[in-house]
Amino acid sequence: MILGIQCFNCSHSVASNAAQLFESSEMCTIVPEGNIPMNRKMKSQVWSLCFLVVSLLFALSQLGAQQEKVAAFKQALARNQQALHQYQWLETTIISLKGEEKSRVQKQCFYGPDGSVQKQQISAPAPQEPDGRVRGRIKERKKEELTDYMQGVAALVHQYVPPDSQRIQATEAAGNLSLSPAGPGTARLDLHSYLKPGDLLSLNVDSGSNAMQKITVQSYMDSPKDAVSMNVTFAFLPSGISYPSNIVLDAPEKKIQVVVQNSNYQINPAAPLPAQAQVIPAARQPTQAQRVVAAPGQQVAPSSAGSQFPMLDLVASTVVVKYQQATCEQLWNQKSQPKSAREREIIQMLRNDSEVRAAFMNQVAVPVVNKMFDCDMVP
Amino acid sequence: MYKRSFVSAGLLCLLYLSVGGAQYPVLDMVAQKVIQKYQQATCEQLWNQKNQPKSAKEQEVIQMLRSDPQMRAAFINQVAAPVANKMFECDMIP
Repeated sequence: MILGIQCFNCSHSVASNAAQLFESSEMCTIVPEGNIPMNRKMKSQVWSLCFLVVSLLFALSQLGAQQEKVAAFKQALARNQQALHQYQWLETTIISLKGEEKSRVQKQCFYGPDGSVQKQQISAPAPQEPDGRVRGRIKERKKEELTDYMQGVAALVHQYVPPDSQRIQATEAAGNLSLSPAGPGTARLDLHSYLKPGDLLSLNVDSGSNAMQKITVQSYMDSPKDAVSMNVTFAFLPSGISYPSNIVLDAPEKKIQVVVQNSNYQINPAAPLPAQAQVIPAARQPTQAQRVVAAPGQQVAPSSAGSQFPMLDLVASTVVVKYQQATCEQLWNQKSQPKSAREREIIQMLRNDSEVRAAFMNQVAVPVVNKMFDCDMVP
Repeated sequence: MYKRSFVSAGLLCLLYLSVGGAQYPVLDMVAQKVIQKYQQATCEQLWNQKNQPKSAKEQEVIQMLRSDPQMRAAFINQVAAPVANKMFECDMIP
């Protein structure tokens, strides 16, 4: 709607100014013999046509800018997700019914080799008080119903968090995505009918780094009557990677509230390490995009997702996320700090192999230099 | 008259297109200068430059880039690879 108004106003002013100029110049022009003076209606049609063309061009350029922004966000989201695969963390799930806490379960979470989150329960649910036979059966049945419902809710949560790039793409393609400012330095992406018809997924994103700040969801279970709302707040690890620290889900129909807290993020020792042997495949053909980095002054793509060095992509993602989400003060301080043994190993590997280095630079150059520009560290 | 009107309308559209697709020739020169500066400087010079104040002209250019995201993107696209390469050589990144 805003887009339409902006487009109309701008184009209208351009067209009308030009029309005035045209009108004034016409007064001093002698019409050559043989030319048929254009009637007012025809002139109006010509200008209407031009107005339409200019409006269309402006709208297209605005649409292009939105698509670029969404694409950058999807890239940042994918990088962040990839970087999170190196971590393990503690998940605490608290379920409350009618305001009363019913269960609290803690699980150790990590990413498995297939990329899915694996969970190991480390705290047992609270012991239940013994009930009479009839009362006990009723309670047991209610508990089963509640458990089924909660399983459905949990599945729903994971369909929205983290947002799926392909679903975002599909929502955008369906014309159900809108981008609007949401305060200083924050953009808001509204995705209508993201998962279910009529639902709404809203993402608050840092305009500069594309880091996720907040997610809100308005959805439902089986029917729109059984509405559920969800609020997700994000926190940052020292490495700059963002993670959903607190998820609050309300199901007013069932008077249930589920709170999921993620904490204690640590590097998972079992996660694959970006070692040199894994990074460099036996045979490789550098792409044109990778070669251009070595050539000064050439344009580079911000990232080359799905390159031939998958583990290197992980390292590059971590570097990009670190730069994008660090404060300028942190970046300045890091310059004077000694590098870890692991970092030195990776740097040495990049120095030894120009092709791997080119692939790495292709991914990190634009976002890193962009951040350094923000922090007055370049040019 | 009819023909002239069409020509005028066409020119207006062309003007829009040329303004929209401008390639910032001055900016290209600035970018080339920055690239040259980074490529020709020694690592020591680059480290020292970090602590030196920027000239008024440099500040003006930086301010201009900050106020125009499209121009900034065009500039960063040009300088990112050579600047990042040099900074990597000088152990200034990652």
